[in-house]
Amino acid sequence: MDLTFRLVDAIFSSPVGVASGTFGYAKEYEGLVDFGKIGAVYTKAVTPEPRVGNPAPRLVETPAGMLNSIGLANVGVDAFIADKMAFLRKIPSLVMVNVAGAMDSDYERVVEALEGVEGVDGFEINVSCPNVKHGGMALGTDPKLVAGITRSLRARTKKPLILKLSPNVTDIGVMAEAAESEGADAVSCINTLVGMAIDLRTKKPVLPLGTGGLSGPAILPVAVAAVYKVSRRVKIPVIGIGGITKWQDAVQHLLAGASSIQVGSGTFANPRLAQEVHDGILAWAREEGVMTLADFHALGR
Amino acid sequence: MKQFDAEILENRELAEDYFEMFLAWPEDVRVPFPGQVVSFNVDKAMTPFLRRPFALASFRKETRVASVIYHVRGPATIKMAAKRPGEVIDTLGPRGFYFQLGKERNPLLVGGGVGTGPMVFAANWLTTKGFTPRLVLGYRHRDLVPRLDLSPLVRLSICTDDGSQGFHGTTVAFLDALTASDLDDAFVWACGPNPMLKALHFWTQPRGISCKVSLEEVMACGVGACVGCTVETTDARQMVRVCTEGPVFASEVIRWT
Repeated sequence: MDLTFRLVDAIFSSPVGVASGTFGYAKEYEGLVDFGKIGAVYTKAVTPEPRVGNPAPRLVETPAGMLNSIGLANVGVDAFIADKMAFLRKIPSLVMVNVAGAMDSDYERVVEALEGVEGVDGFEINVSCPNVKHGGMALGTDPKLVAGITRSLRARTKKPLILKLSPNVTDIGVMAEAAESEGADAVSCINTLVGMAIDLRTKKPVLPLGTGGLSGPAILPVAVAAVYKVSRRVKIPVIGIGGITKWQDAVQHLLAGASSIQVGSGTFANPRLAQEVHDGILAWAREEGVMTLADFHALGR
Repeated sequence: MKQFDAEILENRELAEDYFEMFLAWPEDVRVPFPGQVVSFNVDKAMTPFLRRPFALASFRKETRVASVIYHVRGPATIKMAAKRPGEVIDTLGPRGFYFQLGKERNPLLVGGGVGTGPMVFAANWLTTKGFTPRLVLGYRHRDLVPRLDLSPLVRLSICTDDGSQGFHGTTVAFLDALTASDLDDAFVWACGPNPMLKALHFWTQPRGISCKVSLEEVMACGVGACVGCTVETTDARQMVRVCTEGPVFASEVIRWT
């Protein structure tokens, strides 16, 4: 059995990654997880300058999930290189840097700054953050803008380039096709869904911007449907994210057509989720006689 | 910090809807200090989905037993209250910056409602360091006043909003009624509702009394990764994470709104 996933020259030794925004810069989970069972760490989104993020409250729990409104709070690319890369170089997992910004030039600056940095194994381009006023999701909901940013970043990197897609669109397949047409190596889907919670006491939305991004087990079927659709629309690999809180959820993603998966806010509830999902996928594959990722996809067709 | 299944040794009601849960603390988990936090995945259920953070209320070195005091007010704490001795609970901790001594020698510890636990821990801990701390605890009504396991060296004062027990008024009003000699060389450690902590900040500042507060915020990861439990500081360019830079902060660092 070989569930290795190869993306350009990056080799994912485990089908399980940890999603951006749910794993910090990895050091936060030092001592709590087995990095040997985590194929890739997708970092907290990195922007050119440090960002304080949105005002509090930033979190609200919802049925089978949560809304967040962090607002891309991060240390900025210079501090990321200076302070965060040392630990990321030490772990066996691949390091996929999640890149965000308000305009194309922000993304370009971050990718240029990181292209030559040792230990950066690839980029995941966040065109789908629902919690910022500019850039983020606005970029990811227009196929012309998705194509434009992909083209521009493709010209700037030889490393694996993954576009992280928003589910908050009429047809996510169109966005995946736009990314593929301009040379993206993979797409990851989905980012969080736009959601709102209202406080009966104040009669107002709980989160300061009104809406936030919904994640957690509630979104699993939405994510599986997106992976199923996208994997039938593009030839590049699809990385499945959304709603995974146990290995069975991850197997659904793989059967739907994902070549790799990410666990996200499930890690908040159980820091050991990624390795437990890794073990569960392998055990299931062994039982079912699944030898490769392609076998998963064939079973799902 | 570790993630471990802690065995529940006892789970007893201290007052109306206030419980204390005692846990066996494994040998390979670090000894916790007052102000530090654990988080529980109470039932590994989809709802409530997130872990719940609690400040520790005690730790006994000889028996390696720790406890948390919690208020039953939502689905997670209802499930906690239903747990029986012998069951285990998924625990992550200990975590966070704890209360640390400065040069002052006269501790005034202030707790309100759910902030009771860490102040009880701090008071008992201070008695082992040669202090005789004053512990001022505030509640809405006498039915909410918990039965506490305190060292005889702790000088306890209870305040109730309706005067049904102890001092009639807030904890800050109680401090205000103290004499100058009571406040000599004093420092304040506090945990409780934000309005109380804010009032304490503005009470201690003009008196030149050092004030450290333990904050509570909704947390997702509890380990510094999600940046969800941030609070504003007096420096507009910086927010701090309650789970990582806190939960204990010098009150002058926080922007009180």
